[in-house]
Amino acid sequence: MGQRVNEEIPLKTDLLVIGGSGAASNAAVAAAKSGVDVLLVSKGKVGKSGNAIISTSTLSIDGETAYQLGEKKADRSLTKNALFQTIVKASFYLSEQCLVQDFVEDCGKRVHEFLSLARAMGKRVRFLAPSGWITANTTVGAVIREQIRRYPNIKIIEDAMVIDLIRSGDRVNGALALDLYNGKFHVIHAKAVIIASGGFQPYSFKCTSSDSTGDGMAMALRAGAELADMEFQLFLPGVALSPPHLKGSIYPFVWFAARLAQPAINTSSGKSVLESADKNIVSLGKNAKLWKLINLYYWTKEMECEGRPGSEEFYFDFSSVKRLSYLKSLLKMNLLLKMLYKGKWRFGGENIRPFHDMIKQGKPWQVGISSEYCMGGILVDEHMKTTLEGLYACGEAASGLYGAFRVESGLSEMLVQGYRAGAEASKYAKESQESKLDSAYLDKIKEQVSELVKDNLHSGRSSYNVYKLWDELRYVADTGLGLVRNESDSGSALSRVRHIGEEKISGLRVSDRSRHYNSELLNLLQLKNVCLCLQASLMCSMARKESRGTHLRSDHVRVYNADFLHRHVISFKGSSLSLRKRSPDLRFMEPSREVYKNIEEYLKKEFF
Amino acid sequence: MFMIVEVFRYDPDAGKEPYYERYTVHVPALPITVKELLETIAKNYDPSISFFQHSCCNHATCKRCYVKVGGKAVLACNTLVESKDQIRIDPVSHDNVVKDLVVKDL
Ligand SMILES: Cc1cc2nc3c(=O)[nH]c(=O)nc-3n(C[C@H](O)[C@H](O)[C@H](O)COP(=O)(O)OP(=O)(O)OC[C@H]3O[C@@H](n4cnc5c(N)ncnc54)[C@H](O)[C@@H]3O)c2cc1C
Ligand code: FES
Repeated sequence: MGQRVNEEIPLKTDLLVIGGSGAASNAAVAAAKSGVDVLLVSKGKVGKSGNAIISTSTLSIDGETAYQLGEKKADRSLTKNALFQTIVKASFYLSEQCLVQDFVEDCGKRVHEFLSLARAMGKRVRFLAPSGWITANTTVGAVIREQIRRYPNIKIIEDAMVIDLIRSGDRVNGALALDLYNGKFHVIHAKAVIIASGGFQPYSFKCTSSDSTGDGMAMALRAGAELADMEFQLFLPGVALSPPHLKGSIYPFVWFAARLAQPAINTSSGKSVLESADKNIVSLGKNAKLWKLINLYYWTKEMECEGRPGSEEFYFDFSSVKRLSYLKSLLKMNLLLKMLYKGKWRFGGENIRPFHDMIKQGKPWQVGISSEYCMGGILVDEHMKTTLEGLYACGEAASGLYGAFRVESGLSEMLVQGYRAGAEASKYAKESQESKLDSAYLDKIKEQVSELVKDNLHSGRSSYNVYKLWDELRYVADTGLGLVRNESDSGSALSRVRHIGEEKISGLRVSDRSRHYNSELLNLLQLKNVCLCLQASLMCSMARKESRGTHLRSDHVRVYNADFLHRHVISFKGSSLSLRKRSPDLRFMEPSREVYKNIEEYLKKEFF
Repeated sequence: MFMIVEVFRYDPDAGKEPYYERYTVHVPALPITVKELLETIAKNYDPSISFFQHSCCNHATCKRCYVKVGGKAVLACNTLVESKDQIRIDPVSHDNVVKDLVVKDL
């Protein structure tokens, strides 16, 4: 077949929002309220894509506000100030405190608005002590769609992947998107752009949506913005490894974290993972949201091979749980799930009965550790503005609120930051003059996509293809950016990822010439983004020669406040990535400059 | 072990009638999900096949990965292939095929 030509559709708007989940919908709503025209472009369908729709859908705020909102069981001692302190301490002092302050101020209002809309739509929401709510993940999706539907000045394009931003001089004023179904290009000209495209997951064992390929982060980086905190991934202990069709389900984690009848957690050799753990620290996990970090820390200590997500099996063993206590817990869980999802044994779309059949048969649940969220992302200031004029970012795509460990709600962050970004970017769009699209820049990024479907040595059924390279990259991430890291593994991973990027991906062309749903092209575009974000992550990981939050190093176990109280920031210098340090905003709470023996000691000192 | 998988193929750009392509696929172990089977074909045999991939929840929630296996509509991410008997994978509807197994408006 001859040269493929992508038809072009030019579009103009005040504000372009990239993404179709909660950060994007809230950004679009805040902007639409202020009267600007919004175009929202989403890779998936609005409210049917991203991590929000597969989350457990707990949203939390401070207890004081929850009480004022009528939740009489809310814990009022969790004041705004207490929430602020918890986030900052759990971030290991890497949070930008101005962002935390804004979050604490806004979260009650945003979560209240979101859940009020859910209730008005007849959806079920239940209070969850001490200061949050739980709803169905399908409800989260439905509310996101409804939010958008209410504003006629929000236009949407779904199933279109934004490939790159358009930079005209020093300002971002548009983007190029590919309609995945018909292969047409959308050339979007906007006064301001918000990236709300979610996170980045490079691993082979996943519990996240396939959207998390770091597209927004990579395009921001390519356009000249900066990424920060890329070494920090939020690992979730207790993700199902079996039964096979439920691999990646977070139901075991949810059971465990809900404090229902607690199984023993054993390694494959039968050792209890919490046996040698400090009991005070473990009890901290019971009361606070540090549960994930505490378990991650102790589970990984028992791992035989160093830290590849999902490679090590753990077992939730219910054999010593009293039958009555188990049945009571099961009833409680079933009532909750039935209330949220209506059908019996339903958790989101999954039928969780096989888990409970296993208990009946005396079999333990086989679980592993998988990453749920990335703390790293685009560097923004308190106005959600990136370092590039006209470009904003929010939600999981942005960084700075949770630092080295996300202790609070990702969904609340998505709502708060989305709304703020929308308000700020629309203000900018109103005040700024329209600027001309740089056509040379646009041609260059279009050409880069067109290149991928040209004939080449590596196209087609040759020794490697995009799917094989995905496997290679995942393996590199598993080994170099895993649960427990060390200099030599991360170093070789960094060399390998550079090699894969430069020698393999850059020369790769797709064998499929079709303009219509070209899976191969989609994967190649995503792979490039993952490759870039992985390089950034490995550089940050190598530079952090200490342990902090979820960044656990076997060769540097100390929390080294004396030298490492800074964020790592990545940007392009010429054609290669470069790293700089940035001191976070510490205007309200100063950390001690102490050196802690390990994560355990840090938690003890900071939280007792 | 090897299994024979027939996949519905159609590309409006190719100017060809739809057809079934037959792959003899090596699968290390069963069961695997339909999605994993398709990924295996794409990776080891034919990267040009298209199936719903761009925004997968992977947890039976978005309901966008439907295909027909042996004539029955199933979610590819959540349905297991348990036996090595020959199977045929079709788009969930033949009326609005975009390419191969991908249909519009799911
Ligand atoms: C298993 C799991 C459980 C969780 N449970 C909870 C919980 O109980 N409570 C909680 O608070 N948080 C939870 N989280 C975290 C929470 O889901 C995320 O923090 C939140 O969804 C982030 O929202 P977002 O809008 O930034 O991104 P996402 O929800 O991930 O959405 C990203 C959007 O961007 C679109 N997109 C991606 N790339 C492009 C592109 N190139 N062009 C256009 N659009 C693009 C996607 O299609 C999608 O619409 C959980 C996460 C996971 C994975
Ligand atoms: S990918 Fe969402 S239901 Fe299968």
